[in-house]
Amino acid sequence: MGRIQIILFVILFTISLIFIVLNQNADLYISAHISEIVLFPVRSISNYFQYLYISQKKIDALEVEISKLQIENQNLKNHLELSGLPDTITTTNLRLIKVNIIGRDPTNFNGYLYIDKGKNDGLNINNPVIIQNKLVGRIKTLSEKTGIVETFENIGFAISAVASKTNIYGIAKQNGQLMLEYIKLDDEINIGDSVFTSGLSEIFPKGVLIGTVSEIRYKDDLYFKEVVITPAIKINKLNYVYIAY
Amino acid sequence: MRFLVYFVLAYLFLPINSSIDFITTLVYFIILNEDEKFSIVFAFFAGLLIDLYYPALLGLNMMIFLILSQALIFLKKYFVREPFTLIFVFIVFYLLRVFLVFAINGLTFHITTIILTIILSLPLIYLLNKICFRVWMKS
Repeated sequence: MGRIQIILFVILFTISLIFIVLNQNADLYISAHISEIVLFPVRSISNYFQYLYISQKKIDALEVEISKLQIENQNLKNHLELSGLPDTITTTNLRLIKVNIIGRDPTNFNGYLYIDKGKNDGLNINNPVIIQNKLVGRIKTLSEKTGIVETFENIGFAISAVASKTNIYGIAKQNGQLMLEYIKLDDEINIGDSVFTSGLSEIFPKGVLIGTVSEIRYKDDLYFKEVVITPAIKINKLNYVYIAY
Repeated sequence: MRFLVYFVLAYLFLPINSSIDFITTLVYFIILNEDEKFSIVFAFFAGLLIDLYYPALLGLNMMIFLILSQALIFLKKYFVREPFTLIFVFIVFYLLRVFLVFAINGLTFHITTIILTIILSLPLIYLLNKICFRVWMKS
C-alpha cells in the first residue's frame, strides 16, 4: 500500500469519524450545506419530474372541467335555440373520468376500444363515453380494472338524436355508415346541420355532438328519407376518452 | 470518461438505493477494476451521497465504505475473477456493510432489498464491464 493511499485513507477516515462524533445539530447544519452542492443534480431532476407530474395532474383536471363546461355550454345553447324542448342542464351532477385507451379492435370490425379503468374506478356498463363533448360510445363490458367501449362505429350502435337547427328527432344508427333514421320525407333537415344526443335515452346526457348531416337521400321508401351523418370524431385517432358517470 | 460514468451512475442509482443497493455494487466493481486511490475516494463519495440522501447518521456510510473498500483492496489480489467467486465475495462485502450499519446505528435493511441487491449484482457487474471496458467480464 502506497504512502499516498495511506494518507488519503487516514484523512477520509478522520473526516467521516468527525462527522459521526459531531452532535446532531452540527450534523444537520453540515448536511444541509453539503447536500445543497452534492445532491444538486438529483434534487433538480427530481424537482423537474415532480413539476411535470403536478402539471399533468392539473392538465387532466382542467380537461375534465373543459369537457363538462362544453356539455353545459351546448345544453345552454340548445335551451336558447330550441325553446320547445324540455330542457334540464344535465351536467351539473355529471362526473367525468379520464381513461386511456390501451387497446383496439385490430380489424376495426367491431369498433371496440379497450380502456384502463374498470369497476374499481366506479364505472358501470352503459356509461357514456365522450371526448370534448363529442360522442364516442358507451361501455360495453367491464372487469375490475379494465373495460371495453362500444363506439358508434360498431354496426347496430344506435342512439336517440336531434338535429340542432330544426329540432327534428331521430335515431342515429350505424349501418356501415352513420345514419339519422326515421326522418320523415317532409321533415326539414339540411346538410350541415349538427346532430346531438337528445337526452331521451337514459344512457346519454343531452347535447353531446354526434356529427353533422353530410348527405340526404330520397329513395323508394314512402315515409322516410336517408340522412347520412359524418361523425364529429375519428375513433382511430383517439388516445384517451372521458367516461361520464 | 469512465470515471464520469461512475459518478453519473452513482447519482442515477441514488434514488432507488433504498430498494436495490446498486451503489454498493458500483463501489465493489470500482474497487475490483480501478486504481486504488480512486477507489477509496469514490467509496467515500458514495458513502457521502447515501448519508446525505438517506439521512440517519452523517459519516456512517462514508466510514463503512472506506473500511470495506480498504479491506477489499487488500484482498482482491488473492481471488480469481470468475462469476462464482465474484458473487461470493460481493455477498460477503454486502452483508458486512449491512451488518456494520446495523451494529453502529441500529438500522436494518429490508430483506427484499438484500435479496434483490445480491441477485442483480452479477448482471450489473457484467453490464458495467461491458459499458466501461467493452467486455462482459474482465479477467
